Amino acid sequence: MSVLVLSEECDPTTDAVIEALVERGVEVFRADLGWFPTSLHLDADLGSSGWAGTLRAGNREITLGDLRSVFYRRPTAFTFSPDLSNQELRHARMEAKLGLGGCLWSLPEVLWVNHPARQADMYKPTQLAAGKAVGLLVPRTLVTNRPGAVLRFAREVGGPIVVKPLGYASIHEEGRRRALYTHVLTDDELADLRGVETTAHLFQQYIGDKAHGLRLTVVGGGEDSQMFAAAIHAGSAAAAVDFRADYPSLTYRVVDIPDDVAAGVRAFMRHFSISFGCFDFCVDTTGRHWLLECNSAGQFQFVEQATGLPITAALADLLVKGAP
Amino acid sequence: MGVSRGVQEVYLLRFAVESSAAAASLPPWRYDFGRQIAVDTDGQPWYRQLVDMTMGTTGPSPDGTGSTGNEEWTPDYMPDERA
Ligand SMILES: Nc1ncnc2c1ncn2[C@@H]1O[C@H](COP(=O)(O)OP(=O)(O)OP(=O)(O)O)[C@@H](O)[C@H]1O
Repeated sequence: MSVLVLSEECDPTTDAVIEALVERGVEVFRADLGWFPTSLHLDADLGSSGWAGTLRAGNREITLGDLRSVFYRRPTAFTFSPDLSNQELRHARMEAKLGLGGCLWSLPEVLWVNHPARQADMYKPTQLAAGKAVGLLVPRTLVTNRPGAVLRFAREVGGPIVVKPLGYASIHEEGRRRALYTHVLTDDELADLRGVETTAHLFQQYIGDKAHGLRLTVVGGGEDSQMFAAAIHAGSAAAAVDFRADYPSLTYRVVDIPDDVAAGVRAFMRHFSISFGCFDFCVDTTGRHWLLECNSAGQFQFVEQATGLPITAALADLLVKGAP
Repeated sequence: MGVSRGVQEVYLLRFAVESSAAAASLPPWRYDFGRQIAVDTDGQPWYRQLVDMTMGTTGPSPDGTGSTGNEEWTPDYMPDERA
């Protein structure tokens, strides 16, 4: 029995989980998909119970049939010979994706934390719709490329609104990386909506009476899932809007979450078939929990270090236990 | 944190800001194939050096600098866009 870990080489969250797995005496095979095809080798043929064969890297080898679980974090893209033409590259990339991906994704009785296809389902608007459907409280949200729709939305909300990314929270510009934090729009900014039409934009009701942020890390997808909740208290004006804008000002506290929120979160995880998730909520001064998003491969070391919540151990135990 | 640089093509990008987390350089590391983790210059587990993860950054970003958040969501079936 063994655990496959797919992630890039620079991933300290994964390093901590690997150490916990090694402590538990299980065989671990870690690889980055970026090693394929140069230093990661697949040899699989279709048997009576799915794809059978091996994955190899250097002197390490793993038998696909022995896998109990796969920890899918953030592998990089396949790396091909620089001699390939663009056409060849596109072909090779697609073949690799369908070949390696197709064999791995279909392994029977393996617990995926989380399956990449399930993660691919989790676009932010899809999450917000699912959250609402399972009874979680979701801020009013608009997705549009029409400036006029933003004005209508702002009027209907009748209070401040924010704009924030649908995807990555940063952008490379002139060789530097700039952050895209949640931004509360001023009246002046609302008066000039040029550029909304260039692509899809997400606007949301601003939860202004925020008591604190809540990071809820959930390990396990069933009724016995473990929930690790940490309140994130902002110590500055910038962090009060978006906690990532001022890390040094933050303080963390272990908290309990209401039963209806826990039930909603479990239903959300069932909906997406995920067994690990980092949920971000805003808790307002009346105690209402507003769902912002769930990150299915989120970071949790910062919460663990600040609170002592044993998330790494729970995750390692889940991977050792495998599929229910 | 810096300020917005005026009108940009994409509305959201007007609000991109400088971030100390994004600029934070991380301690040196190398991947130890035998142990399957990153190690520091003394061969110790590198992740243990990131004790200030709660302070400056939540960890490294895909480009190796500090992370501005949970940038690990892979919006595709396979990470073929993250070369
Ligand atoms: N509607 C909102 N009202 C008040 N605060 C918000 C709102 N949306 C986001 N925030 C704040 O912004 C920060 C980041 O929120 P969120 O998790 O939604 O961001 P994101 O852009 O999806 O980030 P990532 O995907 O990197 O986690 C948190 O501090 C959160 O409290």
